[in-house]
Amino acid sequence: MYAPGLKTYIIKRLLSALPTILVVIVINFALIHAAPYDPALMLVGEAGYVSKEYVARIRAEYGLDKSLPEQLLVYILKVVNADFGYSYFHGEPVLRIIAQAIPATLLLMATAFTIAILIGIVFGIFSARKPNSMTDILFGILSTAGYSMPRFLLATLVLWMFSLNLGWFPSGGVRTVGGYSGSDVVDVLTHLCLPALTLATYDLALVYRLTRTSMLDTLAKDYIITARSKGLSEKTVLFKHALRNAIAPVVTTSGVRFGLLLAGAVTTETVFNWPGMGRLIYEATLLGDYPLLMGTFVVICMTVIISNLLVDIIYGILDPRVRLK
Amino acid sequence: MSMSVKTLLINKTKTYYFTRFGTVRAVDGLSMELGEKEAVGLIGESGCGKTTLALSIIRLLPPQCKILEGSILFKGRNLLELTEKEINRVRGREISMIFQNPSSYLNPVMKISEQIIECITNHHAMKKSEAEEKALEMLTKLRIPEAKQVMRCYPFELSGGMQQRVVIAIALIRNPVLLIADEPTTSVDATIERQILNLLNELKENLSLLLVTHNLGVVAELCEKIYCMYAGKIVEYGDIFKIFENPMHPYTSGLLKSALSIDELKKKIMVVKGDVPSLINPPPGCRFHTRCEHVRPICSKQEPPTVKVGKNHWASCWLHY
Repeated sequence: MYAPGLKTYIIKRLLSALPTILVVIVINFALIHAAPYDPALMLVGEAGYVSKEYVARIRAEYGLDKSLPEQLLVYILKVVNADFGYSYFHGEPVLRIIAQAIPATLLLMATAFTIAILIGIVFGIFSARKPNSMTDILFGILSTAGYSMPRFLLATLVLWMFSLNLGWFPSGGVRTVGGYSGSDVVDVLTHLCLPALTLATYDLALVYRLTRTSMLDTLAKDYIITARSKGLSEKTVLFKHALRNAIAPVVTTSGVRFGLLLAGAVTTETVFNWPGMGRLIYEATLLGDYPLLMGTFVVICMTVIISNLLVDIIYGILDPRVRLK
Repeated sequence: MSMSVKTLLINKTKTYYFTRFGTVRAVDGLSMELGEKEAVGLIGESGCGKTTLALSIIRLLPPQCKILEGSILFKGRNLLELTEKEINRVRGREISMIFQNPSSYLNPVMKISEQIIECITNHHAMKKSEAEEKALEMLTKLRIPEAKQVMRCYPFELSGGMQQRVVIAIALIRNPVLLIADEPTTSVDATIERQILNLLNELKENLSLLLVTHNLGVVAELCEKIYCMYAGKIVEYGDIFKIFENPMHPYTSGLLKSALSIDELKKKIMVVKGDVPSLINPPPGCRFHTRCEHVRPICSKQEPPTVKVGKNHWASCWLHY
């Protein structure tokens, strides 16, 4: 019963992601067609009264007169060629608008994610080493608060406290309007603090709780006694023997969460006026900019699929038994 | 008895678990000794405190468990007085332990080679390649076929017997003075048991062995001396042949009678009646009196002292006082 090599495992995983992507595109297409509106009327709508011939011409131009399966095929081919159409509101290709918003979102998400993972894991291990100590109980209370606080409320509170009242951080945007006297990096970082912390809070609490529970479980395992009986240092026992076993649920959840973080960014980016994907979704929803909305959905779905794929791969590296399945 | 320093001298040690149901007196004022290159068996029913005693020696008890009294002298040094750092230097280097269930005692996500060589690269500054060489040598010595491939395996890719040999390799790689084997053959089948026993038989030439088991056959094969444990206390100890021929404590004789041998299979199997008493509220006086067929009034009132009942043979029972 030898486990297959890592390479085979990764290739298998990659291949299994392809059908998922196809399903996502189909669901996306179905969503558009389930929506109670006629895209052709939507397109001509702003022109006021138009003739039936004009609507029919628009239909033909956009391929809307074809049968549904045909339309689906066209849509799939377009998405595969990274063609998401034009935004109604911006009048620009959807892809270009999304590409412009991605760096800001990625910066915000990566920062929030790193904060959540690093601090969550370290504090989780710390708590698991001395369960029911004063610090453990305190962290437990804090994490429950962070876990259950709605993000829009947290964002507003943080904004009110640290920006409006204390004036430590700017209230929104990526850079100071009208230029900043210091370095650009410092300017962006000070703008990043509040939204990143707001976005990180939920996942920080989640990662902390998962790590704590999983570590407590692992530290009671027999092989930890073996590790200790070898005379290894506490550091080696904790990080090499325990954490590697305990980290699996954390990895799984964080992968899923990373994809969903983009959805969570909607509130955060809106409150802090952060010019990323989240705000783009918010605006597209308000304006009824369907091509843009569908484009962002595809991007979110792809992020979820890719992060899940990464989780599977990391999981396979961490635990060779997973590769068997 | 020679005058030289004993490898292991446990003196009136008490190890208690503090649970929400009460204090479990798993090891309750227990003494035993083990000489250099001596093989000693510790026998008793499940739940009598054998494993707790074994773990007390290398101080790897769970957090709710504390050693309250007594001393555990290892080559004259009291292990209970060492700092965490000092005891950590004893573990694996001078005292090693092998466990009951090899599959749960090996780290599931680490390669066999990693799990063996970390024992040697840890304290001495040995090169990784050198350590790997040594690990391979050890596996070959333990007669593991295709040792090179096994080094690259994960525990779940090996059979139970192979896993147990890996556990033994981990324990032996640093040439310990004392090997504690806690039920080393309980979870393996009969052919593997034979192989492991042959292996331990060879190994005990070079080290002191404390064998913890409820399997009397295993003890008979490996040990010169046995300690019989009941409810946290030693009830009888001494030369193995003396005890097997003529057990002086009713519990020991019950335990021996309950063991099977081929020609006895036709007869009714004897069992020690009753259950192991709760170690939260152990019976007063002699702890065995609730199950003893020779019980007398004094047994429930006073604890019997340990008396010499023959050459190299001691028992704690009012029958012999």
